Amino acid sequence: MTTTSTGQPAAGATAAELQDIRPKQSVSKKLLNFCRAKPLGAISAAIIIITILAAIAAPVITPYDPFDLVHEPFLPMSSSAWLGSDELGRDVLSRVIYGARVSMYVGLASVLIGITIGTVIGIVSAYVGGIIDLTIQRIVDALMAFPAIIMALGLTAALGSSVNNIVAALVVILLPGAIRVIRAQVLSIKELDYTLAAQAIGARPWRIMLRHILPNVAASYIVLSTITLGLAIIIEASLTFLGVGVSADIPTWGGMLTEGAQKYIRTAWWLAVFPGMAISIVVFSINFLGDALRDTLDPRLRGR
Amino acid sequence: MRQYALKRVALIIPTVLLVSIIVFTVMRLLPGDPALVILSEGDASFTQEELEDLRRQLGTDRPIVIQYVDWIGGLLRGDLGTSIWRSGRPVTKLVGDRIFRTLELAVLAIIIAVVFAVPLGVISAIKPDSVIDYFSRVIALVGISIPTFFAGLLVVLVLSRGFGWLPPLGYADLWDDPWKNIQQMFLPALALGFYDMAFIARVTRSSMMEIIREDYMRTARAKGLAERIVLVRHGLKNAVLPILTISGWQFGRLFGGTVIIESIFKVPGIGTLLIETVFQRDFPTIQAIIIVIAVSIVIINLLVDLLYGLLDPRIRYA
Repeated sequence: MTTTSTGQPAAGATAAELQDIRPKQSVSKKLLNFCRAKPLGAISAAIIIITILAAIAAPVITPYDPFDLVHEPFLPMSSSAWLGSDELGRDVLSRVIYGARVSMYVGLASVLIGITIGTVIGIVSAYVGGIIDLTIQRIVDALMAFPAIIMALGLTAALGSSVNNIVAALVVILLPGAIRVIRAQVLSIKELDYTLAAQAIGARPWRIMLRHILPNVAASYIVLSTITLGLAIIIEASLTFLGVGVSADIPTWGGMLTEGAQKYIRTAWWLAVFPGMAISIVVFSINFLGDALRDTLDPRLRGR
Repeated sequence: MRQYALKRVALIIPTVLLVSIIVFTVMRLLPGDPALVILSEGDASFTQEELEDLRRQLGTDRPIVIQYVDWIGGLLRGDLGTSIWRSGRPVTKLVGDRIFRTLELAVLAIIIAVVFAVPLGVISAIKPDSVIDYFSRVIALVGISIPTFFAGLLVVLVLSRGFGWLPPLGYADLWDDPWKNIQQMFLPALALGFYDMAFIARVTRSSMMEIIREDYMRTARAKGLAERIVLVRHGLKNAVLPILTISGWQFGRLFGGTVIIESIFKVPGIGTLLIETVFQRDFPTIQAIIIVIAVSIVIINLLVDLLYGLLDPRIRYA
C-alpha cells in the first residue's frame, strides 16, 4: 500500500530547484498558449461565450419580441425576418436567441450542482473507503443502468416539469458519471507521497481531502463539467421536444422542434432547421472544447 | 472462465435489487401521494372517497415496505402490475405487445451503425490524414453532437424534400408485412444509429491505429500474407474487443434514443408507450417500463462482459 513509483520528484532536487523547473505562468499567458496550441478549442470557447452573452442580452439584441405575431405566418428567410417566421407569424431568429436562455440556464445550473456534488461524493467515497465506498459504488452501478432520457422522463413524471425540476432531474443523471471519474482519480491520488506525508504529520482527513486532494482533481472537474454540459443541454431539449419538459409558452430550442415544426417540415423547413442547428453548433463547440481542455489540462483522462 | 462467469452473474443481483429500489423510490415516494397527483391534474375537483378509491387501486394505502415486497414478488412472477388508465389492463401485456418493435428498431440501428462504422474506422486508421480519414472524423464529431431528435427530423427532411420519398403510412408489423415494415423501420433506425455509428467509428479508428504498429502485423506481412488477410485476420480480429464492448454499451443506450425516434416516426413501441404514460401519470406503467429497460441493460452489459471474458483470456484472470 505504501510503495508508489509515480509522482516522485527527481532525486536530490531541492524545493527551489523544483520551482525553477515549473515556472509560474500568468493567467493571460496560459490563455494565449491554449489559443495557440488548440485554435479550434479556442474558437469553440468563443462560440459558447457568445451564446451565453446572447442569452443574457436577449431582450436587447433580438430584432422582435419572441411572443409577438410580427410577421405573416410561414415567411421564408428575408431581410426583415432573417430566419423566417413560424406558423403563427413569430420571428424565428428572436425565438432562437431567446431559446438559448433556457438551454444555457438548465445546462449550466445542472452541471454546476451535479458535478460539484458528484466531486464531493467521489472524493469522500474514495478516501474513506470501506463500507461507505462499497455502498456508494453499488448505487452508482444501479444508477448507470438507466439511460439518461428514460431516467429524465421518470423523474419529470414524478416531480412535475418546471425548469427547476428538470435541473434537479439532470443533477441525478449527471451524478453517477461524475462520482465514478473523480473516485478513480482520488484512489490514485491518495497513494501519492504528498497525501501520505500529510497523513504522517497527522493532518485530519477532512483537511487532506480539502487541501491536498481537491486541488488535484480541479482539472478533472473542469473537463467533466464541459463534457457533461453538452449532454445536459441535449437532454433538456429532448424532454421539451417530447412535450414533457419546459412549458410550451417559453421559447426553447427543443420546444421549437415539436409538433409545429414536424408538421410543416416539408413546406417550412426553416422552422426545424434553425433551432436544431443552434443546439448542434453549441453542443459541437462544447464537445470540441471539452476535448481540447482534456488534452491540455489532464492527459490522464485521455481516451476515457 | 466458469468462476469468472459465476462471479459476474452473482454481482448483478445486488445491482438489480438496487435498480428496483431506485425505480420504486422515484415512482412511489417522490410524488408524495401518487393518487393525489393523478387526481389534482388540471385542477379537477374530487371527493375524499375518490381519493381513497384510487389509493386502494394503486395499493398506496398499505405500508411502503409491503408495497415494495408485493411489487417485487409480482416482478419475479412476471407480473408488472396493472395500468391505472386503459381500464386496468395488465402492464405485462401492454409492454409485451410493444417491446418487440423497440427491440427490432434497436437491433437494426446497431447493425447499421456497425456496418458503416467499422469499415470507416479501419480505412481511416490505415490511411491517416487521407480524405476518407478526414471525412470519417468530421462525421464522427458531427454525429456525436447532433441530438437524436434533430437527426430524425433531418432524415425526414432530406428524404422527403430532396428525394420525394416517404415511408408508407400506417405501422405494419414485421410478421404481417415484412417489406413495408423494413421500409418504415429503416429511416428511424438510420437516425437512431447515426450517433452510435459516429462513436463506434471513433473507437475502431483508435483501436486499429494501435494494432497497426504491432510487431505481429509486420511479421504477417514479412511472411508474405496478402494485405487483406493481414488487416482482417491479424488486425481487425485484435481490434474487435473494444469495438464489441462499445457496441454493447451503445446498444443499451439505444433504448433511450428509441423513445425519441419512436415519437418522431410514430412507431408504436415501448418508447411511445412510456411517453403516453408519463403524460397520463400512469405510475404503475411508467415504473414497469423503466424497470424492464433498466434490467435489460444490466443483462446486456453482463452478456458483453461474459463475451469479453470468453474472447480475451486476460480478462478472466485479472
